[in-house]
Amino acid sequence: MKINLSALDWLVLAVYLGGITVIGLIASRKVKTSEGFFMGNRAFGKLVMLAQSLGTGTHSDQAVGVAGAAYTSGLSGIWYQWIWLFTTPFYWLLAPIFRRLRVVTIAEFFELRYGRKYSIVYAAVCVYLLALWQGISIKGTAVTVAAITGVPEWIIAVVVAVVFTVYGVAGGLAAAAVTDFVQGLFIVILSFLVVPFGMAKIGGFAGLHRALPPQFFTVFSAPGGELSKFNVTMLVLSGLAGIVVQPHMMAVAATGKTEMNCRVGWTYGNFIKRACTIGWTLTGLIAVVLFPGVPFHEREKVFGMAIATLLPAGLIGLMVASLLATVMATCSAFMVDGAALFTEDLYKPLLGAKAAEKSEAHYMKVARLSSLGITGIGFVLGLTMGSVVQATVLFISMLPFIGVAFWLGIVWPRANRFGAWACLIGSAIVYLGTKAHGSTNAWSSLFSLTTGVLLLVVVSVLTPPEPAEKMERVFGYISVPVGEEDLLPGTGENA
Amino acid sequence: MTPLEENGQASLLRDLLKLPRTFTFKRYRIDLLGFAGAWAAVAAFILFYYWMSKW
Repeated sequence: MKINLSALDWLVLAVYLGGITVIGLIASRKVKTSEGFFMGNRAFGKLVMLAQSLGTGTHSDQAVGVAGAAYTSGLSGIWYQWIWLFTTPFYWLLAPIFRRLRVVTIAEFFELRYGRKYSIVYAAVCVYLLALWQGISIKGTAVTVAAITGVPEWIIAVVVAVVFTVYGVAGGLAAAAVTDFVQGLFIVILSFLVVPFGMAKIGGFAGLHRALPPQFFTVFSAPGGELSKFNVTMLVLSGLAGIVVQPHMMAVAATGKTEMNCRVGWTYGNFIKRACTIGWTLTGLIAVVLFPGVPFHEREKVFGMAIATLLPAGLIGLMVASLLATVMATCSAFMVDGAALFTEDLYKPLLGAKAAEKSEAHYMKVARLSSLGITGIGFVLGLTMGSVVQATVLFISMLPFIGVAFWLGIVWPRANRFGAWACLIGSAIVYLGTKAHGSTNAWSSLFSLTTGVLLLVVVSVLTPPEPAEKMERVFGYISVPVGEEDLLPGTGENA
Repeated sequence: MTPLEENGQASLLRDLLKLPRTFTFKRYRIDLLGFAGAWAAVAAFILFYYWMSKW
């Protein structure tokens, strides 16, 4: 085993890992309640919200995946992440809705809106997804860092998991968000550090155009290709439907002190990520010139190859630290979000009437133990996952079935639990059926989304509406901006 | 509508199906200006992307 790190690289890594752990542990001292653990007491300012949105939503496997896609598809590889560009403005409108709901998890919204069974199914699926997502992130980063440094994958995976688990279990979302502030800076470094070194080597943009054929600079790939206009359009639509029910969104969108903090953080934190995506794409294009002939199934290695080849000593350590920052920022947040779903939406319903008798300390203990458990499951799952890009597409394809019920649930009071179940089951059957008959992801998404909307509307109209008091809790709360809590339906409620 | 909603903080999404009755710029000011600003950012990204493809 040959380790490709200099003493300076090791020093940079040690300072980063030690520093981030200390910052996380300091932030954890203020966490005394489960509300504080899961939601940071909803007290974050604009900058922390920006950093949290960027850190939670950005992982190194995305950088690796986009660079790999650009390596084979050219500039159009950017659409693997820019499918979210057109959904980003909607975060501005959604953020106050999330904040005004005044719930801890999206499952809690579903319980109010469509009943406990729907909420429990959603929570169970999302705990699994959050564990899986952590596994994918840890594995993707470990593979890339191992290729750069020569350090075995399993050692990298263990170090990453131990560090974010230590501060995440201690401080919950507050620790995750505060460390995101530092990690966000590293993510920007990660995205652009290689580009100037690469451009200098290949003769800048002019050199890039001379070396590569014109199809590497088309906006979309050819019709029918993996990034054709139709495929990108369907990914955008299903992304918009599904983004609202990604299980970490309540923490990302609703933990700001004011509605404006939530809007600015969620929207512009994501715009910073879109800018970072440009750096990942350019890295992929530079790699085509520098490392021609990498097979398609190994294209995700080019990001690491560029780092190892182009950067001098010290900067490799900084880049590896940045890669680790992306995975730790994401996984610490996912760990806390998974614990929130488990504690609030699976454990408490299981206790039934006894839930109110348990102390705050008891729920803090459950939150911390479930954090550990979810990350442990994710760690094991991570060792068995395939290509990160395929996993991303699959993830995006499945969530919109539930997302349709969320969207109609906030704009149409008549939507009910029967419609939500019909939408979920009908969409899943159509999606899996069309896939089994050879349809592409894009066509399957179109058929299943259309079916889901139609079923939700028709079945809701034909069946009894939801109880009026539940609707008052949802729509009455959405109608009261943060700062006017004395106007909430029912008195004495906390915001 | 609450006082804050009357003064710009009403939600376009929540009122989507009754906008023909409720819409005034003043009521939805923050949603409208911020949404437009975010689309301007999207346009800037796309323009930069085109420029990069021709650079």
